[in-house]
Amino acid sequence: MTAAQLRDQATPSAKPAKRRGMTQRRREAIAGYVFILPWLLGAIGLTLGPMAASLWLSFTRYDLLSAPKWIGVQNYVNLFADDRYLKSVRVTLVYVCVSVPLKLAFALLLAMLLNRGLRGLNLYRAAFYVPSLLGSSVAIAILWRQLFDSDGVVDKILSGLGWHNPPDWLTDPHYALSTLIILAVWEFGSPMIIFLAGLRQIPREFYEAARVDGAGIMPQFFKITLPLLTPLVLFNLVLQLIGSFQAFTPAYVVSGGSGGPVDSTLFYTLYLYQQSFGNLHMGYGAAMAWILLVVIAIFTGGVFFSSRYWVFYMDQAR
Amino acid sequence: MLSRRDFLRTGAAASAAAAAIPILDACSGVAGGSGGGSAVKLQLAWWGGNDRAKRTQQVVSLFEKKHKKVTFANQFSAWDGYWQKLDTEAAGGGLPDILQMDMGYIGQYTKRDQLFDMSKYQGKTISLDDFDKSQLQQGTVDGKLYGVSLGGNIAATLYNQTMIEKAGMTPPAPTTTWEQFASYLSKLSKKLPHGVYAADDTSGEIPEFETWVRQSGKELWTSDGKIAFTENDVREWLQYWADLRKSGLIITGSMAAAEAQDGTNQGTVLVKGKAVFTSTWSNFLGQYQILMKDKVGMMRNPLGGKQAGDYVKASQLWSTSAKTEQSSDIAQFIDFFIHDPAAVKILGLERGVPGSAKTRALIKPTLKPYDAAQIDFFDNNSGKTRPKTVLDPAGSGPIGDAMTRAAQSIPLSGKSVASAAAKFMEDAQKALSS
Repeated sequence: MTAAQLRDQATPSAKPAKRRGMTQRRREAIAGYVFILPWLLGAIGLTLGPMAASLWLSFTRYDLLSAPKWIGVQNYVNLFADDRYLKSVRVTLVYVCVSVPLKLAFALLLAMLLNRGLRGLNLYRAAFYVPSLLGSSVAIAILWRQLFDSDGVVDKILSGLGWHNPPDWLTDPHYALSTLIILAVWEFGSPMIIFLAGLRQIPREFYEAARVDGAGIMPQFFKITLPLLTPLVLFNLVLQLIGSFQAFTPAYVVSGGSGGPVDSTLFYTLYLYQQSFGNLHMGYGAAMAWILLVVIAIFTGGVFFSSRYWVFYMDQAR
Repeated sequence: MLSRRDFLRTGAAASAAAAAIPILDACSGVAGGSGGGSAVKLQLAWWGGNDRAKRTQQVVSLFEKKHKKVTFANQFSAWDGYWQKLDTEAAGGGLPDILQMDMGYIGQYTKRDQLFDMSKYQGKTISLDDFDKSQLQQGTVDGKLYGVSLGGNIAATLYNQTMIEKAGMTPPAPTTTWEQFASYLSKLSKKLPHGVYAADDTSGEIPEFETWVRQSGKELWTSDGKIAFTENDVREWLQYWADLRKSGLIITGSMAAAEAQDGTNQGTVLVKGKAVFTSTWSNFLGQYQILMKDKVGMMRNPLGGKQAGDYVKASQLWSTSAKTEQSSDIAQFIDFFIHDPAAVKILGLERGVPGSAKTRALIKPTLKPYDAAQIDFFDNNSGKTRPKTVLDPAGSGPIGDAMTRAAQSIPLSGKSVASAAAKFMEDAQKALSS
């Protein structure tokens, strides 16, 4: 039932007294505000207020213990002369640009496998989903460090398969970031569940018709499945993009908070944390946070803007 | 399927929320303030491992039993993250009443007036007459008592004595120089089982570098908190280790990185049996020994230059928050911690060698052999060391991280010693100037 229908049904009872209808509407409005008041207070006190404060702090020198000192755009200027900052930008961009597409592809692949009416589907679905529930937790990051340790399980398996001299997954600057990307890809569960829900909604007749016309598996995927899933691809892409830019826990735990070896896993947020809470450069950290917010907004905006060219909605089909 | 409008609306809202909230919200610390009235609640914070937590908690409950009106709320964490947490709590006005202080931080904390001057309790509630002078002096800044040392330690060289004996050698002489140490390692290395290195790589550790620099009569910092070492000092230091590395005498860069990432005692190459020598604070002797079957021995760091480079450091101190209203209860607790016979027996040498002579005499008969060895080491060597009088400046913490990065960049990123040293100097200057 649409909202319009509901309103039509509601009006007859409200009709007899028109003036009371007005006050009732106002009363409803007040009640509405009262109901959202707790949320509103939270949003202002815990989100908007601190955000405004952090914007202001980004123009100050602030060591947390003495009063902030206004220094204009100096923090922003300093950032671009800070080679560790630039390194953290590079590390984060590589992490986002590699881990997000890989993760989505993997999620889609698994969702399609699970959608084939497997026996014990629920079990598999739960098993695959669990990592993404635990994924950003400290425990998993510690587990990851142990798995990829020099005498960890991964090296033992590889050596059993005949690869006796595998790279140092976590302590070689050339591989450490890749190991964290694998960790991110392994947390494919939540996009997978969303894809699975989307696959369930694609009408079977489409495939039947395609088969009657002689279309093979690949054409079916590219002409039916993928186009109809694009809204969900967009949704997952946006969420994963935002999440990856803010990744913190895996790098913090795996590198012992250093972003090491030699800054090879110095994620943006990790450097932000080091500057803010390690060096007490709160203003500098606030400036970093705002640049990150703007960059995420640009990326997200770009994805939304481009979506009109590649996202297909069923209700627009002609 | 979703309609376009619904989708865009939920999508945009979800993404805005997801983007904004976690990053821009500040996280708050543990709430402060102890309740009034006759009941006193004290917050106690320290860093350290499980063994320390166990011992400290036992002493705390002992104190609570004897002082019914006092209860404690304990918070402890690993060294990593401890100062970040304290600073955040301090900003919220809730620094714990009693906090474990480090010599690297006492300078900046007193400069910001965050600590309570305990001078008025000195010699009264807190009796310090029989206290080791050098330890007492370290907790005293500008003539005021800001911290009471919980134990002294010295940067030292620890080794796996069993492995040395199995290799048919004896531990190095106490007067070993850096050069002699290198040739000793090269002899030892030939007799070690495959996969065991002669020494840990401690080139990225500031306390070891400090020993090296002080041996030429200098200090790391000037009294007004500037850098007192030169780029050449750094280059020579890193070169010494690069030469050892080239000869395969110390662990690989990758192993050193793993050690740094792990950060626990269990993760060190000495405890894992992958290297024979390492260098760290002397109170780690017992901490490592309880994790190992092999016997651990200890000697002074190699000598060099004209002067002693090592010094007796207060390994940890109890400091009091400037804002506390319970200073007299706290003073009682601190005195209890360093003098009560039952308490000091529980604590042993886990935090280093106690400053109080009475306490040392009291616990000596009860000690395990490795702890007795620590006291002997202390008695034999503390007179040979050279006291450190300058305080570490704010920013010395990040400089330690920069040293680790510089040291790692040589084996792991193929940097030259000269460029790693130059980079370190640049980072160090930056950490102090801002």
